[in-house]
Amino acid sequence: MNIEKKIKNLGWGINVYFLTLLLLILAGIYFQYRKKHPINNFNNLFKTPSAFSQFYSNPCQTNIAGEPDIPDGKSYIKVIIYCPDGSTTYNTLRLDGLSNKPTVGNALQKVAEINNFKIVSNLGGKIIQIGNISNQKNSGWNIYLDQKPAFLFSKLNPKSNISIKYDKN
Amino acid sequence: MTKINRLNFLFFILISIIILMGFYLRYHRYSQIPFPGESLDEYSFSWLGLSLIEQGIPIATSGLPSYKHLYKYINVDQYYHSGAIPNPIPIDQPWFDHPPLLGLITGGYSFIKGVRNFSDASVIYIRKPMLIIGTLNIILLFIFITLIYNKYAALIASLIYSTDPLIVISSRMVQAENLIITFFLLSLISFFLYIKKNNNNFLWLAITFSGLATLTKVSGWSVPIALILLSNFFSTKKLENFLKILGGNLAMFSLFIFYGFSYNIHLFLSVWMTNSGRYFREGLLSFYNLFTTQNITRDFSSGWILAGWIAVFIIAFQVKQKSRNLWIILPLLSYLFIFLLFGSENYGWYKFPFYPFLIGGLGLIFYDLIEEGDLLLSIFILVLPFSIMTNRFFPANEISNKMVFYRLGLLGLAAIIFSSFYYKNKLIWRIIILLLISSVIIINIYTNSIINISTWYNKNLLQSI
Repeated sequence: MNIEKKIKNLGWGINVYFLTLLLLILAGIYFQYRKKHPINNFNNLFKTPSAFSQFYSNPCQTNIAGEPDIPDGKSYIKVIIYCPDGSTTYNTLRLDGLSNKPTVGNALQKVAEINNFKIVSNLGGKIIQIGNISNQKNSGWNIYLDQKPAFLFSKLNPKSNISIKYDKN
Repeated sequence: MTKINRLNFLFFILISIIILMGFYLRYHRYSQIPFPGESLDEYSFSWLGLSLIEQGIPIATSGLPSYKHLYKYINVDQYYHSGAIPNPIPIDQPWFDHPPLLGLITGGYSFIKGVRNFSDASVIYIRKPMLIIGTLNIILLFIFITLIYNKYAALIASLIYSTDPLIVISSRMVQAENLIITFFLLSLISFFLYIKKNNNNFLWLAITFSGLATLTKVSGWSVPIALILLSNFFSTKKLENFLKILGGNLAMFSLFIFYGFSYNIHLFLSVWMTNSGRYFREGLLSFYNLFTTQNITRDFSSGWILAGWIAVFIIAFQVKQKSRNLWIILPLLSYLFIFLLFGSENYGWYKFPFYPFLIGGLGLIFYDLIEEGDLLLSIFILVLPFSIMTNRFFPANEISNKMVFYRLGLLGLAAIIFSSFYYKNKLIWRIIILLLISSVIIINIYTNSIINISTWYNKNLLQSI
């Protein structure tokens, strides 16, 4: 009886405290449930570009300017796109920001996501369109890796230089 | 309507204007200043909340070496086109740098608005809850100062707190310290009511809020410490309160420890061992730098903060005559203890929780000065925010051809002060003090209005000293 009386006399303050504790515990239970039944998978969390981005028709509109921190002096690549109107975009990326076995396609896709333009390619690893600039009969986008012709699935090495040029086929 | 009702109504209108003005100043250009990306912490907290809601795993960014980082290019708010070095962002899971309460608020709000991935967690969304929290803090400061002192001191304190450019800009940021301010004030208000009404319900309310502060950031432990110190001075049930406060907070904080253990015990312990060994960049100058440097994401001078420290020293000396001053001093000291204990970098946001107590102290002092008609000390304090803010618009190289006005103004001011020693009609001096405070507040508001993307990078404008 004494205990019942004591509980009745506890008051709203301690009830608020315990209710708060309960809500926090329920939040923790929710997290554990969500761990087993996620709404979104891990890779989708890093999907780019942002929904706020507006796509540029000209892929040379922006750059990824500056030089990343590279403690080992090696693990970076450069992506340069030469547009048909004479403009150029220079971009430097760290290799560890791309996938585990980075290719030219990974790097170009990352540049496209950050600089807000679209890339269309074919199954043969060639680029058909960048931004609004498509291949034509006699000219189109060509990929060069360290000045040698390459494809989107060509593998990257540290300090690779990727050049994308719109020139004659 | 009786005279008292009319006065109360007018007072209500005044405080409503202050709160609305505070909200508007915080809302104006909230997504531009501070410049998005100047502190990755803002995104980190929100990513933490988003990932917990979507995946049940805390995922965010950290520089601590305890983690095995996964590097990702996340171009949130066009981060890589805003002057940032093109480094991929280190992503860690599970992430244990801080408890998740703030992240759940900002990340949760973003989720409700349709954000599903990290690059969509723009400041346009994640800072919006902070505008509400920032405005709520103005209201709570008003209530707190009204309780410990009176509504007039509270009005002055809220007016300064709602308009000081440093505080306005700081309160927009998604930083845990802004939420700690909310729980700190709620806890103190509840504890004050407990002491006054001797009602245990308010004690448990205070413990609840202080527990939530510890689940916002570990520096939130300054709140229960403040409660324990206040209990020692104002309550006869010192030991009982100590056990309740400590026990209640430990029970709540233990949820964070269970949370960490449920994901990865070793990583959780490793992160906290690394945190405890953080580099103490400011060294023994930390205390000195509190007075001499004001900053947010970059240096940003504020004379009000310096004046606040002076006010706090004054009211600390008056503690024996006015024990209610302890309601300002003890919470300030408890956060100061935590601030010095934890150390780390000279980030502006570590200082945010000082501001309500500094400005609260200013409110108390200004009320006393207005009551006494003490023009001299009022001007002495006001000259700090006045000079620092007007220096932004009249830097030294531009004032040289305006020296005659400066000197005439100074002589005029000296004449008025001299007169106040002989002409004892307090009403006139009270009006002058109120006019001087009002003019500095107007400069506050004007300064807020001119801070935009281009002026934010103007060092002369921001770092007046």
